[in-house]
Parts: sequence; C-alpha cells; structure tokens
Amino acid sequence: MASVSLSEAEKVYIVHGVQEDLRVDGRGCEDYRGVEVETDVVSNTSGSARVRLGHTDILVGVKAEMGTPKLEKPNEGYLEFFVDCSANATPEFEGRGGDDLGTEIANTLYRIFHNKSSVDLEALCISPREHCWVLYVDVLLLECGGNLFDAISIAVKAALFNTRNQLQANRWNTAPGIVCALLSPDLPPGPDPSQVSIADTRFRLLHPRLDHIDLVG
Amino acid sequence: MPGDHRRIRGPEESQPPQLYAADEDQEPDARDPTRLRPVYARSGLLSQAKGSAYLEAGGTKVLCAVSGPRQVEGGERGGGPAGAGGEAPAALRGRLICDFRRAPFAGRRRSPPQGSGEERELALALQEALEPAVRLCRYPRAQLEVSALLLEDGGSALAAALTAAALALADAGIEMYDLVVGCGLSRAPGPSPTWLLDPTRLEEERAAAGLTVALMPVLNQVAGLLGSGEGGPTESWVEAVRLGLEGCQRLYPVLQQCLVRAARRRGAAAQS
Repeated sequence: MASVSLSEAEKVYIVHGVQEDLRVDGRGCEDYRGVEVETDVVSNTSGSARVRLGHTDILVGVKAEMGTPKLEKPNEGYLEFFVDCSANATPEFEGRGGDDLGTEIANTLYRIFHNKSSVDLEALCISPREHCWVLYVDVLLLECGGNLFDAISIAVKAALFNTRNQLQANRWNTAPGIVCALLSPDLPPGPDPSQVSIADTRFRLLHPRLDHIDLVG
Repeated sequence: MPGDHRRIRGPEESQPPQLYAADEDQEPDARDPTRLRPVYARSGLLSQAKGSAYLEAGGTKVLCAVSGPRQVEGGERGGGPAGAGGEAPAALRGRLICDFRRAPFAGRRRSPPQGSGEERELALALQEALEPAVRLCRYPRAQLEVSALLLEDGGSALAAALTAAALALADAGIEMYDLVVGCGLSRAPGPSPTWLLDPTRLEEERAAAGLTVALMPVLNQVAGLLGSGEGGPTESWVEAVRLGLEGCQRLYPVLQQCLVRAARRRGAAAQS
C-alpha cells in the first residue's frame, strides 16, 4: 500500500472518530484484525511460520544448527535474529532504508527472548562448554500493512513452536557417541499476541508469556 | 606453517583470566533501594565540539559531544507528511543523529571496537528520548550529531548517557523545550524483591529485569522508557517507573548547577 497524504480535515475526521471508539475501517479501538497463522511452510528450515494480519505479511524461518556456547553462558544455547525489510514491503525500504527498522525489530526480539520464561535456553545445550543448539531465526517482511511488532512476535513464536514439533520427530546423531533424543511435552499451540504497539507515542509494552522449547540432549 | 620459527603463533582467541578464576561470588551490599549515587557533572570541556558534557555517577563515566547544526548529508526526499502537532513537514525539520559507543576497556571483558547490535539499540533509544526535548523545527534541513562515549560501565550506562547527552545539547546552545534526565533501575531475581534505583554493575549483572526511564523534569513528561526482563506483575513495573521518575526529579538540581557554572566560566573567559 503506497502511503497516502492526508489533509488537515481528514486528520481531524479520523481523530474525532477514534474519540468515539470508531476507526476508519469500522473497528473499535481495541479490536484486532483477523490473524491467519500457517506453520511449516518452508521445507528447508527446521521450523517456519507465516502470519497475515490484515495487509501485513510476515514469513519466519528457523534453522537449528550446532555451535559453541557463549563463554559467559556455558550451559545455554542461544538464538540469533535477523530481520529483513525488503523493498517489496513498502517503497520506503528501498536500498538501505529498511536497515534501521530491521535492526530495531531484531534488537527488540533479542530482548524478548533473552529470559528464562520465554525460551528455555538451558535445554538447548548439548554438552556444556562444547556444543549447543543455535537457532537462527530469520524474519522476512513480505508486506508492511501496519502493526509490525505484533505480527512478528506471533510469527516468531509460531515458528519456534514448529521447530520443536519437527525436531521431536527425529533422533539426531550429534557427535560420535552422543545421541540426542527429543521428548515431546504437551504444549498448547495457540499463539498469544501479547504485545501492544501504539503508533503515535511509540510506546511498546512487551509482556511475553511464551511456551518452552524442550530439547533434551 | 610447520617449522616456521620466525613467527610465534599464539591461540587465535583470547579470554580474560577471570573467567577461569575461582568463583568470587560477591553479593552486592544491602542498601536503601532509593539511594542515588553522588553525581559529578561538568559541561563545556571539549574545545573541538560545539557542546560537551562529562558525567560520573559511581563507577559509570560518560563523555558526550554535540556537533552541528550542519547541512543534512544525502539530501532529503521530497516533502513528507506533517507531524502530529501541526509541526513543520518532515523535510523541513532538523534531524538528530545519535551515536553510542562503548570504549573497549569499559566493561569487564574487552569488547571489540566495532559497534555491536546493543550499541545501535542504545543509540536508537538515545535518539527517541532526546527528540521530544529538542526544537528540531528551528533547524530546518540541518542535522545535529550527538555522540556518547562510555568510558567505564559501573551500572545504569544508558541513563548516564541520556543525561550527559542532554547536558551537552544544552551546552551547545541548541534550542530545547527541557533537559532530559535519565535514571536506571533493576530488580533482583526472586519471588518479590524490590526495585533498586541506580544499580551498580554487580546489581545489574544479577538482575532479572532492568529499566531505564528518561524524564523531562520541568514539563514532567516521560521522554523515553526502555526495559526488559522478568519483572513480575504489571503493578511492579508501574511502581518501578514511578520510582525512576522520582529519581530523575532529584537529579535535576545538580544538572542545573552544572549548566550555570559552565555559563559563568564561559562568561569569565570571554571577558578576559
């Protein structure tokens, strides 16, 4: 959607509507657009998800690779995020324009998934100080139709859930003598859109309540 | 190369010896949760920068310099939409470019001089917090560059950088609506611990959640808020923000005095 310039009268009209709890597309102030979530859409990844929230389209792919744990946290694996705002999403992202937004979103994702209640990082460890799972989470913005943070957080959570589902079906031979058997606890699949982004004041409240990834090495 | 005795090749990666040292588990001392460390602030110390400020709070030392306004590089794209409060269109407003850098010797481990993602995130946080305070509409088609250098990280680095950056902008004579004062908070892990104001590095490392609040004291408006971690129920975050705002208000007189002293110094130097 190309950006539209609004006249002052149109802006006043929109503001008055919001004050009456009526937005331009007929929703109330606290109503969500319909969300469509699909998992397991990309075959080469360990987990993937695609989320459509109105005109916003996000595709997330997770690749699980083996790496060395970080020195300060020898008993934990880790996640690496990369957000790609391509020029397909909106014309403003042409060239390097989307880099800043991509970095900001990636940094926010690091903050969310950096604590114990989001992802059980200790379960990603295979052998302390030597091997651990590194989950490379790559987010692609296919179309930008507003409310990026919510859509991306839903998509990342769905993709991580899909990763767990895929890995639990296999037994992996990680190194000579070490066999990684993966158990499958019961976890409800519903994504919980628990971020609220209020555009004008740029105030983001993040309250993650995500399920665990349980990989036992 | 085997048999090459001219070059001594050590291991490729180096680590500090503390990692392998015996666990010196120093617990941070119990203290009054609302105490602020004594602050030393001085502005107008760099001769080559338009405005500068140095802030020391406990073990945290930040140096900030402001340059500009100068012409925007790269040219602006044509007139963008006007801002929310009827401000000048985006192309005519000035730009604030912030840079946050950590000296390699600032933390316990040597960090490589190239910027990491964390520094870019903090630079973005600086910009978001300083923009509401600066009258950018008075600097059309110009850009102001603020660069903060963290010399030593003793806890609450972002808060100190925010305060130093605002002081430096004021010292440079940039038109502002108000100063921006930053305050850091942290919460230790556990069932229901209290929020600690102005944490030291030890407290921050052991924290389960951290928060930085930026306040414009006279207007009493929050300019920026950045926090993350497991902070417990929502009310606990509300209480933390309130504590942070009080801390910012208590810090404000120190900064006022610093700017007055700098102005006097400049006046005395101009006369002689």
